[in-house]
Amino acid sequence: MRKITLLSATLLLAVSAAQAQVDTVRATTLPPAQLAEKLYNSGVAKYNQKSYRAALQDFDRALAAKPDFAKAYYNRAAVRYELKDYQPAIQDYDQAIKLDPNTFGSYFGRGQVREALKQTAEAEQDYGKATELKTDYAPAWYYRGALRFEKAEYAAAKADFDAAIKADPTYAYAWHDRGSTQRQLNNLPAAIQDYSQALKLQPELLPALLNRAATRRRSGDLKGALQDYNDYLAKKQDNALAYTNRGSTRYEQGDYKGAVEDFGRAVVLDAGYAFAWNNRAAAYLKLEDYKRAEADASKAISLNAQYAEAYLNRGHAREMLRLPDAACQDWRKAAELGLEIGNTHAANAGCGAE
Amino acid sequence: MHKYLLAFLLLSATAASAQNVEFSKDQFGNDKDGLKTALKEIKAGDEFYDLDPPRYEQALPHYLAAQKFNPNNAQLNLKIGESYLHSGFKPRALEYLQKAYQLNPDVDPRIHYLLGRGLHLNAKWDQAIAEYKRATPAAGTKNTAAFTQDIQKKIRECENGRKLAAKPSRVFIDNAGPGVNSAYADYGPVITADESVILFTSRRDNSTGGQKDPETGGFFEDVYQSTRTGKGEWSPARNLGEPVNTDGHDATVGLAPDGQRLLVYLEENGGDLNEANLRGAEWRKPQKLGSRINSKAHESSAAYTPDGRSLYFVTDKEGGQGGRDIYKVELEGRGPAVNLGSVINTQYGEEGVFLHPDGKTMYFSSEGHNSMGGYDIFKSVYQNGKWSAPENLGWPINTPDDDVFFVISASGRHGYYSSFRDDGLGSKDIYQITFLGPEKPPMLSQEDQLLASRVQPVKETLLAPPVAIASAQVTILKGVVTEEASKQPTEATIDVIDNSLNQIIASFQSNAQSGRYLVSLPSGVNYGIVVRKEGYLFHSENFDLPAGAAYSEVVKDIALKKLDVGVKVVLNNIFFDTGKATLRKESTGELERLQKLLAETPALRLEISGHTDNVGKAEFNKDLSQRRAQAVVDYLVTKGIDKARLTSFGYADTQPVATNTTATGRQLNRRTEFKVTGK
Repeated sequence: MRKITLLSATLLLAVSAAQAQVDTVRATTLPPAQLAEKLYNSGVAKYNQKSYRAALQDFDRALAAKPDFAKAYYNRAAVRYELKDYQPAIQDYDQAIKLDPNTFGSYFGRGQVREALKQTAEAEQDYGKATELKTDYAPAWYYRGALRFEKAEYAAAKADFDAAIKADPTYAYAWHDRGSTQRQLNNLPAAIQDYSQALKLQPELLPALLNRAATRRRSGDLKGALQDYNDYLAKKQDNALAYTNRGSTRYEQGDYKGAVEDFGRAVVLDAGYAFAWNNRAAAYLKLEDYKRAEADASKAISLNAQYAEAYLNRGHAREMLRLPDAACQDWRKAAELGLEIGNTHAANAGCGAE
Repeated sequence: MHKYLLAFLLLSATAASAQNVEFSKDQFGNDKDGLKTALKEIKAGDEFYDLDPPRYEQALPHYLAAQKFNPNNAQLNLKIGESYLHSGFKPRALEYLQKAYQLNPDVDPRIHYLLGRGLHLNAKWDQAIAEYKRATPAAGTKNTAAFTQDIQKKIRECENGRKLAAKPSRVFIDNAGPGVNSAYADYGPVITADESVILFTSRRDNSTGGQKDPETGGFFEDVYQSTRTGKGEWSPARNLGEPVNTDGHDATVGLAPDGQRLLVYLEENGGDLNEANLRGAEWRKPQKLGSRINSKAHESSAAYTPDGRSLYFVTDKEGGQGGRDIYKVELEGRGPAVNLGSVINTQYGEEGVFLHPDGKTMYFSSEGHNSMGGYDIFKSVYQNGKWSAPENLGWPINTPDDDVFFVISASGRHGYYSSFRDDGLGSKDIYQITFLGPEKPPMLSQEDQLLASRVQPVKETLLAPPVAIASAQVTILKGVVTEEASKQPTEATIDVIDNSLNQIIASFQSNAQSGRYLVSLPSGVNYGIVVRKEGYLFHSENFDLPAGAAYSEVVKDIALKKLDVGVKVVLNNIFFDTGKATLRKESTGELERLQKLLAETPALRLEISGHTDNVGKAEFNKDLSQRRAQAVVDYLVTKGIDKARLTSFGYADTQPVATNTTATGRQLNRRTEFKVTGK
């Protein structure tokens, strides 16, 4: 979370700072009596010092002095975004666009605010407008791509990430997210390549290791997947998700004891992580330790009462524990929650007929 | 320090590899009485052991008594081991045989063969193979070729066992409990298709006549019956008594799916098969099954087909594939019994045949095919005019010892057989096998943070591919037939009809006392079920079971009505084309029954009525129901029934018998009916 906020702020600042510098240069060429511009420049300086409240006051005063000062609106919007004062930020961007409709930065900035307000359709439109006005501005492509990815429009997302990479071939996030898009499109080798490129550009982009691992695993390269998980866990040991996913890989390799260990570490790190409890139940089933399997699946269900997979697994455990009625109940509940195979198990085990 | 330790270890090792100790005064001079008793026990044991054929089970307790006195005699250990090899607890032989060999490697020229047997019966496949390879024929063996063949077969069995045990079948094997099992041998279970009744053979102490078999020392066999209680347990078994049980051996070998006919083995004429019928609550005296089945050879087990018209049975008469073979005979025909051929029968023995109520799946035991030792249970399916290659039911159902007389419920969920197991109540016990089917794959969940700029991970469920589910393709229809007026159970005939062929496939009787009936309906047929009894109106049901329809159990209690004015009967086997009044040819049987009823009862007058559900326009439904009723009347008139005796009426949806809000209800409402208007 911190990383993303930082990134957004950096991008925004990059845009704002670029504008501010130009203005500063311009200001030196202008007559000294221009009060609004002076206040504006002071605001930019305070923004750069992260003195947002003070910057806000400067931009307010600059606009009071010069109500058609488009760049002051633009920068005040940026300050308000930092202060999470989103609605006024949007009003400022609206005003900046009204005064200067051809500045891509206002659209991009408004897109960011709208995304923060979860107005994703509007945000997507704003990013789109930004890409039209400045086709080589990689972040606009990138952010629209991410929104499209979240809507599961993978082909459109991929086109955006392609454009982002074209605009900025060193953009590690764009490589990474295109990798994820390729993965969703089932182009697994291409996904692995993209994740690798992201890692090459930014070795500390650790999620890329996890995602490459998951993709390698899906493509049947369990050894490669395990190596990636190991590399990740050598650097970072506080991620329950990473242990859970390595555990799943070990499970697929038939290393059920190793899987139990990993899922165990995950629940120590995050006792509320239902997936880890469920997966450990699955591994215990394989180890024919049905009591522990039942206990773990029950824990997963206590964390998420709608967890279909956990009901299914607990059904299996209960069947083997000679609790046929309870097993039938669990399988049927799993089916009710969307896992149709639960009904098949129930029918096959003679549920209801005994 | 180390030196002392080494000396101690050597001493311990020497003590472990004990020397052979003879039963002699030199060894036991201080305990003359003990020695005398031990020698007496050995002598008593030898009297059984040296018989031809030896009676190992009777020798064994004597040898074990002597063993307590001196456990380190190679010969005695060998004899105990060999006796165990011929007992119910064969795996126990190994420890004695190994000890005999350890005490004296030259204890017996057959030692490697016997060790091979002991290891084989303990499922130690590789070690058994090694011993079999070292085995040599005993001095004086005339037929060394037969010995070599036997060794080769046993090695193959071990190889089969290794493969089968590597992939065990997923089953629970549970003792059938004290209702069924006793401290004596209990075996040969047979069940009704719905598992409500079990009959079996037992050699317990309340056998009819109460005498013991001089050959084995055990009580004579009798047939016992138990029923399943509401809690799923078996009620205390009761001896079927006379006339099924006699003073001699009486053993169950088969039961019709509805439990109304029992096949009994009697030791007459070299071993013959007999059939006993249930009348009310009493079994009638077993009757011989006739010369097309019984011969001077040994007929040992049999099973009815679900329609009751054919019998599969086992005989070792000459002319087969070798050993005991399975044959099939049409009970109502005159043709000879037919050997099932080399796909099923091998040069070795086949035994314990059972036919699943689906009519096409056969279970039997064989010493051939890929048996892992002795008889193993196999399954074969009759498809496209031939039996499929028998499939071994696998470990742990099958063991290196004999696994015979296996039966399975119609649902395919439970099997029953007898076995010697450590959790038994004494001697051989009956066990219930619960088939768990293929392993149910557990499901893992996983998520990944797929977008670098987002925190929310994306969930991904890792789903293993679906597994093939084998389900029995048969419907069990059962219930109670009563007289509507008196509400009393009654005996009636139940005809099972293939509507497309208009042929009676099978006829059964409901039980005279309980009114219970049960019919097996293998999937793939449009069945008409007609329940009839003289003096009553017939009752018809329809079960259209497409090929592949999964197992189901339908309970249908039927009340037969007397022929009285005002009585209504639904004609469930009259079919029309959708939206039309054209009688389909599958209706012929039902129409003929109706015509016969009218012909046999000249004063009978009927109103034939058509009924619809409430779907569609009322006018259309009214017209359709009227035309359909009239179509039935027209048919009857063309068959010679005076049209003055018949009226037709279309009621549309005005007389529903069920709700119109469900599909099942609407189906019940769409019907053709008749009402007695005069008699």
